[in-house]
Amino acid sequence: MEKNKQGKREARDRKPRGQNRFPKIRGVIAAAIVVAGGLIALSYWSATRSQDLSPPSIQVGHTSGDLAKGSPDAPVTVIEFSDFQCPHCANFTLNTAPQLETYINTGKVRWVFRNFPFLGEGSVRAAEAAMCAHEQGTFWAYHDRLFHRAAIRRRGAFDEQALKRLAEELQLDTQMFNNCLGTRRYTDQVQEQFREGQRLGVQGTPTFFINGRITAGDLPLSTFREILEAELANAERESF
Amino acid sequence: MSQSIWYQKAIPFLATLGILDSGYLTYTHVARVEAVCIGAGCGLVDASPYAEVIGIPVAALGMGSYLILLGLSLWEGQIADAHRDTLQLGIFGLALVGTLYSFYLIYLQLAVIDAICLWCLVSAGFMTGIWGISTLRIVR
Repeated sequence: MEKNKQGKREARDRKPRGQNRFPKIRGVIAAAIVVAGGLIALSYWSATRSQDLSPPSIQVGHTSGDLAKGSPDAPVTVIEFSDFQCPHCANFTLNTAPQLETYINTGKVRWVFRNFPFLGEGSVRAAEAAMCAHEQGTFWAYHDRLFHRAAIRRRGAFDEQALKRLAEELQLDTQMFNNCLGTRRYTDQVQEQFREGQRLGVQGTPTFFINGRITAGDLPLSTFREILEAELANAERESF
Repeated sequence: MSQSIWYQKAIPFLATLGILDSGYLTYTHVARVEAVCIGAGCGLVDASPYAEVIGIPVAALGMGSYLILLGLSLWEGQIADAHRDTLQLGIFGLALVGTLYSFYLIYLQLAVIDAICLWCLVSAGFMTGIWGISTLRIVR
């Protein structure tokens, strides 16, 4: 008898609970959508602001072991911070950069490469290996081969043995190269370049400082050309 | 095992896994180390400008949400029935915010950053799971 009464009480209690709940649920859903929308808007604003906030022109100093091509007197200097394991860097290097070579060959642009190895031990090892290749005057060839490997994402492509084999393929003095890589001769220089990138606000790769103005990402060729042309026009105006 | 007990255990369980996952991602972001990941996706996503909101790592926001969800779900077992409804609605609302934001992050990975962070997807799965369970709980 008592149990029956309790059951009826529970049923009575349950009914208004259900009825009362749905307006509350709708309210919570509406509030959650507003909060999530606000968070998304804040996230978008924060991300675009972090790109816009970069100072208009940063004085990028020299670091030991700068790797450069093009005339030192070129009116435009591009400093590229890159990671050999980064697929976007590989795409830029293999597909966009070759079409910008004409600016370098005609003395308009000086291109400086800096290591920003943030994708793990393989990236650091590859950066050091490229510096070892630089000792023998083959930095750019070694650099291109490394990015080919990043593009095809072959397993073990950045192991020490694989990096040594790459030096063999380029017919480098392997004893000298292996000694350089084995003793980690360029660890400090690579780290110095990495810290310099951090100091300048590099958050990912590739990041470019074009006459000191920061631009991040694997930019389309047309965009990169527009920036270079604008900088060349600026340089020409300033020279008068 | 009754349904209510199953529900009670699933949310703190998923929230704990979420804390571990987002805690790891917060550590890799703050310490600037590469997350153990399939491919380079985690590093690329972590290095993108979307990895922080006004200077706060997104992974830390996720960890904070999971901590609150864990706290609320454990507290639920300690309070009177009269307040339990409100608490369940709170869990539902917070999990819905987390789920919607997680979907936005997945969209960013696919359409903007062009890289997939495995641990971020796993976290989105945990948050969606919590939201699904909390929905079942309040509509039944």
